[in-house]
Amino acid sequence: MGQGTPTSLAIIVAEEFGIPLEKVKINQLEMVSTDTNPYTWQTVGSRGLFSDGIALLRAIEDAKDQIKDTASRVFKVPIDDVEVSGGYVFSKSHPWIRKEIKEFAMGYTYPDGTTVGSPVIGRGSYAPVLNTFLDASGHGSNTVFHTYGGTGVELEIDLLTGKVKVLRAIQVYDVGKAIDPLLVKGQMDGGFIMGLGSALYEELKFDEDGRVINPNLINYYVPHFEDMTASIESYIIETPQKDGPLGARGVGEHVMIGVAPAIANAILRATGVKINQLPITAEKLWKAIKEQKPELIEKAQKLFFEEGIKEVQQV
Amino acid sequence: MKTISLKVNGIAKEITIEDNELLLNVLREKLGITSVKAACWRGECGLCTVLLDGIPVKSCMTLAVEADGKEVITAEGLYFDEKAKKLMESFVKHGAMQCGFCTPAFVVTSHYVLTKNPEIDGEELKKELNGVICRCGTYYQIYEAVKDAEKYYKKETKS
Amino acid sequence: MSFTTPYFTLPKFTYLKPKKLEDALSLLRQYRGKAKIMAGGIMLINLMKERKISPEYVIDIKGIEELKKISKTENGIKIGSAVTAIELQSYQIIRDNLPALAKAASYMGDRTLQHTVTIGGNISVGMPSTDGLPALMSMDSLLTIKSLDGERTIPASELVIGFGRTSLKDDEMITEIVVPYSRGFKGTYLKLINASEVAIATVAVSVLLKEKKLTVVIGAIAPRPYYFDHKSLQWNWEASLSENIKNASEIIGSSVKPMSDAVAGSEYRKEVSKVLAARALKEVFGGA
Ligand SMILES: Cc1cc2nc3c(=O)[nH]c(=O)nc-3n(C[C@H](O)[C@H](O)[C@H](O)COP(=O)(O)OP(=O)(O)OC[C@H]3O[C@@H](n4cnc5c(N)ncnc54)[C@H](O)[C@@H]3O)c2cc1C
Ligand code: FES
Ligand code: FES
Repeated sequence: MGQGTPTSLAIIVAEEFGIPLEKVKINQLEMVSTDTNPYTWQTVGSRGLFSDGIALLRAIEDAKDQIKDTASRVFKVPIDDVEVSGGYVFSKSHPWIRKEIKEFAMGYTYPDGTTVGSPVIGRGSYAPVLNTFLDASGHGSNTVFHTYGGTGVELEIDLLTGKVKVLRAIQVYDVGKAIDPLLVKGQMDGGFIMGLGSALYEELKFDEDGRVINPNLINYYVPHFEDMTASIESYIIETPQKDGPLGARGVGEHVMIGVAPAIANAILRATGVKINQLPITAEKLWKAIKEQKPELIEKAQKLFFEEGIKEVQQV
Repeated sequence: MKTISLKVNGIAKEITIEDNELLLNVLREKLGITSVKAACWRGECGLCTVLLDGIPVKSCMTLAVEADGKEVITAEGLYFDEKAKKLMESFVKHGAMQCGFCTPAFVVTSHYVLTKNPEIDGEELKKELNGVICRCGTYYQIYEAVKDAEKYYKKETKS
Repeated sequence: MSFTTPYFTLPKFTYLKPKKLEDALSLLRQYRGKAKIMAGGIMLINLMKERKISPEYVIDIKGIEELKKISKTENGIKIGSAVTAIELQSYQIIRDNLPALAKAASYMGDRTLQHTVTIGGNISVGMPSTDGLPALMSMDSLLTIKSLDGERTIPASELVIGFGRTSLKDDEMITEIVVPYSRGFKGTYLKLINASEVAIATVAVSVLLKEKKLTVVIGAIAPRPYYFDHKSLQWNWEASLSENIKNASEIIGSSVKPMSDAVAGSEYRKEVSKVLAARALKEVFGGA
């Protein structure tokens, strides 16, 4: 929890029924309680909104069917002629025959007190179909959707110490449909920060007996405020996922994946030094430069001592 | 056992404590103030940050006795501050929270920063907020939210 | 994991908060060996949580006004031991005269902690990663140490005697730090950290230049900081700056024996010591 899934679910409900967002209540505590609710598996694979969203849409369909059933009897029109949207239940062929959705919530009550239908409780469930385990060679189909995108970075390397500073980041991800763009942007920027941590800093270190030697947040460093890049641009593309809720697919973890390769490739382009182990700490990069491109260090030293100091002396 | 008197979010309190109790435990367990989060207990994450006589401190690194005679302010208390309320609204407007676990600490710290200097330079602001970790990486949004709230903290120009 | 395990609680102790220095010193004597001084408490509280120490008495010195003063005299600048890291960065006297110390203070934990961390506590921790000591050592600072028996003065370089160990007796307290220069010198403090500024240093370098006197202190790489001056660096005031810096950095590289730990390896620390020393020297001379 925490990625804003409940907010997006609420938006779906509001849109489907055409009611104000404030009218939709998502009981977050209940949502995560397996005592009172069915288990929805973890929010792994950034599939929270995808799966819950589809289940929710099915529940909405179910609720609408119940409303239509009651309404067809009240309106005296065939059930196929009843539509639920924009906050109203109405007859498609005689649109002036309409009532507010809320009048059907508990079944319909005539002015004289007689009732038709029953309280509306929609049910829906979702489980991915056609998914398989991966076989020994890694083949199989273990996801229901694929989110595509890319990350680019601009960085600075201190050749003499190996310290990397990421200055700028650009990311573009196709999320199918951004149900709440502000939340999607938050997931993208936050995913970048997390990716930055695993690319440059985060590593559990062990002693010979297998004990963790950095069991704290000083030596297992996670990104802090000062690590945010001077600029970040996150762009959303919307190519609908046909089987996704309102066309959406997952985003969140996906954004993290691109960061380390972008950084490693930027380093490769700038220096010709290949690094294929994370995190790329200053020490690791310095060692790699020394092994793969010692001439770069010599050049930087030369620059520091000769041109650098001459300039200073002239002042 | 010792009785200390302190003001918590504007309300005077007398609490009986042991010398070895941390302010963090007293706030959460004895006073039920749960916006003050407990995570690392070592002064590293900043999620337990509160204002002690107006200065941000990490309550897991502060003895409860040290607060004797002082005033503690947490996010709950800031809700009654006009400017801080605007700051909180700015957090919401900019989507400056994901799981929300760090939000109270950021609100408290940025309220201190803006009160001290509503025209703070961007780099300086990042330094000031560096004591609180957001694992969801919401830094960009928090930065925008705080910058946007500066205007509420600037002194009204005399007319 | 329960919230009553040692990690989340402190051992039992009695908290004392004297208002006068003499009272603090008598308490230290009275409970000798059983009491610990608490300045900011940032280190003390963590050590107690880990049950590395369990003092019966904790003597909070934050109530003693005379430990919180900063003053400038003909003989230098005097800093009370309970002055906080934030104060070191914000007081004009320090910013203008001792920029290296102000800069070092900006690394003492994050900004929130700096409201609490004190200079006296920072150097008494005796850990390689603390920033106060290399800065003070490069400025040939003196420490005023008091106990009920009286006062003694030692150079900052004689405070730390091993990893987390200091030469203070258990009834003694640092009351004041005296930086013997008040003007006419340049200094800088550089630190390399893998990440942003709250992570632990790989290497820290503090440099001071006053007329024909030069000191370079390398911290964070061994239990005690390394101290070099123009003599040990074979500085030749007639030779060119780049030759001098190259030479000094080689001497530093061949004399330090850095430790390897969770932060960085020995070989890397040695190299970074050379690089940072060279940069600090260039900065100090460049602005002259
Ligand atoms: C997450 C984190 C990151 C940090 N990073 C850094 C860093 O990068 N660089 C850095 O320099 N610091 C850093 N620090 C702070 C540093 O490690 C110490 O915790 C701090 O400087 C201690 O100062 P204090 O005033 O709180 O001392 P206290 O905890 O009060 O005291 C420390 C020790 O010194 C003794 N003592 C205190 N005052 C005196 C005195 N006047 N005379 C004699 N003995 C005394 C105490 O009895 C105790 O044993 C960090 C701290 C944290 C929590
Ligand atoms: S709980 Fe206090 S700083 Fe982490
Ligand atoms: S919003 Fe989750 S930790 Fe900050």
